[in-house]
Amino acid sequence: MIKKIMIMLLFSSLLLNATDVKGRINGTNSISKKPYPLKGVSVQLYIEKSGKWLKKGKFITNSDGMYYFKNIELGKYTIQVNGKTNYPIEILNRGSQELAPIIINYE
Amino acid sequence: MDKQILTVIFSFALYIIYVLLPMIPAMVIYKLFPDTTITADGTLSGWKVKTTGAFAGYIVTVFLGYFLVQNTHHLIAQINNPYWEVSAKVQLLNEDGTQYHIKRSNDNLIDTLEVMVAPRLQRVNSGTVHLIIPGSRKNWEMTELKFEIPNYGYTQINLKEASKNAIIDEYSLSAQLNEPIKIIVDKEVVEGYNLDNAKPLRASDNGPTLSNN
Repeated sequence: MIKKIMIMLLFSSLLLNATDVKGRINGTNSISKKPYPLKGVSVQLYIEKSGKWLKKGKFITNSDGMYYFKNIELGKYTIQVNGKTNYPIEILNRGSQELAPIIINYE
Repeated sequence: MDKQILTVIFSFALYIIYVLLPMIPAMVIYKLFPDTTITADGTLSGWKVKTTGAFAGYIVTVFLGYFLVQNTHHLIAQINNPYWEVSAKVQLLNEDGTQYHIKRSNDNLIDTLEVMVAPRLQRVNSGTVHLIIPGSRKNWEMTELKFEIPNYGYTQINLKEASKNAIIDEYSLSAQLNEPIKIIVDKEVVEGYNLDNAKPLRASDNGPTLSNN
């Protein structure tokens, strides 16, 4: 019984530290300066552990340019967009966190 | 059987038939009319041909069969590539009709091009979605399918993983997934996004290796 409670406490503490993360990928170009959502963009979430980058999730942006990662532990991560650019982020909030938009300037 | 092997076997069989079948009328001519004076005289694909007797009959049959074989060969080729690849140059122009200058950068404007196809490559019929997936089955490992209802929810599956539980018909090129695609309403999606006016994230040189430069 005590073992079960211990396991439940361990899982619940892990869940409390997990966060749903979301953000938007926007695009701009030199003609229209207004940002517009980019769908179908590949977004990958990485964390560095002992000098190695581990992939924690991948997402193809929705039609509104949004990406979502579920149950991510708090900490420092890097978001890689289309395999071309890295964006460091920090996940601080428990429960859910919105990230500032990423803007890709197409030329 | 692999479609490429099947295509080679069919092509080879077609060639054998194309060469051997015209021998039948030639042999008939030779047997029935050994002293015939049938003559074939003319130009065949740039070659001057002048022959008589049974061989003339053979040449004429081969010549007539050429057009039939060409058509059949196209049909065999479609077994391996059952779709058309349409390619076209895309030009971006300024308002005055001059060429838009695409800078050599990591993110070219042309890369954001989207092509809408009508009728769409997907259709939904009585709660079942039917998709046309170009390319061979070898690409399924890299093929991600995203099913999205805007402002409701989404689900993403890898085609190779999904095909492990599917009825696959290699000849009609169809795959029927046994498990339904479940799209659960997602409150994060429904709530939307509030940080559009926030300062955008900044790119960094540090991070995992870039793959697509």
